[in-house]
Amino acid sequence: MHKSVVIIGGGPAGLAAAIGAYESGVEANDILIIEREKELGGVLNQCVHTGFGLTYFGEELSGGEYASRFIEKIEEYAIPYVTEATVLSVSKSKVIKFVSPQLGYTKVKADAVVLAMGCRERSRGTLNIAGTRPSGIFSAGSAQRFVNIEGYLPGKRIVILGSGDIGLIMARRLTLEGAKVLRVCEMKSHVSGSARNVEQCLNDFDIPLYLNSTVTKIVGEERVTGVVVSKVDENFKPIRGTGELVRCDTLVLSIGLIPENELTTEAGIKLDKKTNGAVVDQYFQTSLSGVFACGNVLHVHDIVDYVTAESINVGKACAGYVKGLIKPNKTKIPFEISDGVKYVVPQTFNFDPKKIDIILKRFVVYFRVSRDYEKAKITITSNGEELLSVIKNNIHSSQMHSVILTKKMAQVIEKNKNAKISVTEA
Amino acid sequence: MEKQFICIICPRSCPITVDTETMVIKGNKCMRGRQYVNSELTEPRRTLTSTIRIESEKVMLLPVKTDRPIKKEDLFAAMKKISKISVKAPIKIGEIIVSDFIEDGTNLISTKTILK
Repeated sequence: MHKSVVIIGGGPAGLAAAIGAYESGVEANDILIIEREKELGGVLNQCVHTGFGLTYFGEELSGGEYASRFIEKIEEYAIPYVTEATVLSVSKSKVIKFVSPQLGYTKVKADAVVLAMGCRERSRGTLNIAGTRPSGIFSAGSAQRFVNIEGYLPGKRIVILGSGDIGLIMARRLTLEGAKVLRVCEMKSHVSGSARNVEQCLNDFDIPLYLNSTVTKIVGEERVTGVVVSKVDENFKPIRGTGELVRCDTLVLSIGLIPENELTTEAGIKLDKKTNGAVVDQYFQTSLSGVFACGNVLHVHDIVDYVTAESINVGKACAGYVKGLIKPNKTKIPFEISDGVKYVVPQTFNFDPKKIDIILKRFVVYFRVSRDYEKAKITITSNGEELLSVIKNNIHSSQMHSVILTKKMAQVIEKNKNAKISVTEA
Repeated sequence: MEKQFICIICPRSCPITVDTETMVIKGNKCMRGRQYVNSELTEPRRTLTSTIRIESEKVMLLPVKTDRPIKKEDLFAAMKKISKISVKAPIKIGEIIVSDFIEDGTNLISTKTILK
């Protein structure tokens, strides 16, 4: 089989990339979406709560409603997709091997590939919690799947470790379904999830939030019977003598997400240690020409609306690549970061001097900062020349931020062959 | 008296303070923040989302939501009603599952299409 554009992953990133490619002129039959689950939509299918689409559509939708907006377009455009499919490998020559009940073992040669595999959750193993290994320990996403897709309540007396958004959402969901959420523990001195979720998921239901505290031991043989919660110091080390046994039957972990890049690594694509995703240029093209990445497999986003906006552009870039509008990525300009910046995407630039705006009129730069700023000055410079300078209030390290590069700025970066982003206290 | 709120209307999560005597509202970046605080002070409401049983070849549950925010104090009573509802596929997204399901004019609607 041959396809112009093969998209690995039918979640929000993959769906938007497919739509972007189609709307930029790739024939529907020349696109293929490969999805692991029984249906398109990715994690949105288990997100029955609302809060999606406020930025992209200007209205508040549930996860399923948000996904259906894009799935309906895929159906309308008749873009082919295969479900229950597992991709085995992506080769340097862009041959994708996958297995599925519908097509069996299949090889497909692609002109352009979009990596849109999303991310998975950090598990207990990444935390090194002492104690036994009983049943009753769930990641927040698995607990969500049990409640919202399979129809099971994972437990009755629940402690949640980590204050990521999925954990907060699950605190509310489990409470509404009749479980008692005893507390949410967060090692840091601030919540990882959004303030609005603390308000509507914890405070609405009087669920206590314990900051600077973590689970130091799991107790129970067959099933969890309790966890020991301890206070931690500023280096996140448990403080001796603060341990408190909390009787519970379930521990839910909401401790962060990791981009799922096994296929990317095997294809020899360069990864960024800070994002755990691929290193990309302004078109979100990876170190392997014609292979693009978008969504949570590239860097973990706060909200799906940003994933959609990013991935539509990646679809457009794919269409451009297929038409031969993008030059092979050989000479790359590094996008350097200063101390105040945790990471930036894209990490490199690869402008074609005569056709800088041939595919995208402007380029979005996504970044996270390494600490909180009350008033931050964000600057982009090239050879010391200031290209962009904006002041933003209340910049938090837990949030993703973005600025926009214009064609003019891109021209200077291309001429000088360097660029740097810095964040300082204004 | 000054009261503090975190606006839950959008991901911006604006911290808002209200002087409950003068009703001076500060900190909201848009009008919806003002409306939110007014509603919190008089009659807090939330959109309820959940799942119900569905007879289908493919799935066990159908996601649903209230078609408008309901009184916060009614959330658990509404959940109790929701737990007893069961439907049969096909169901379309936006379809009313039970109209006026907690006797205040709110409808329970489907948030997903399940064809079979």
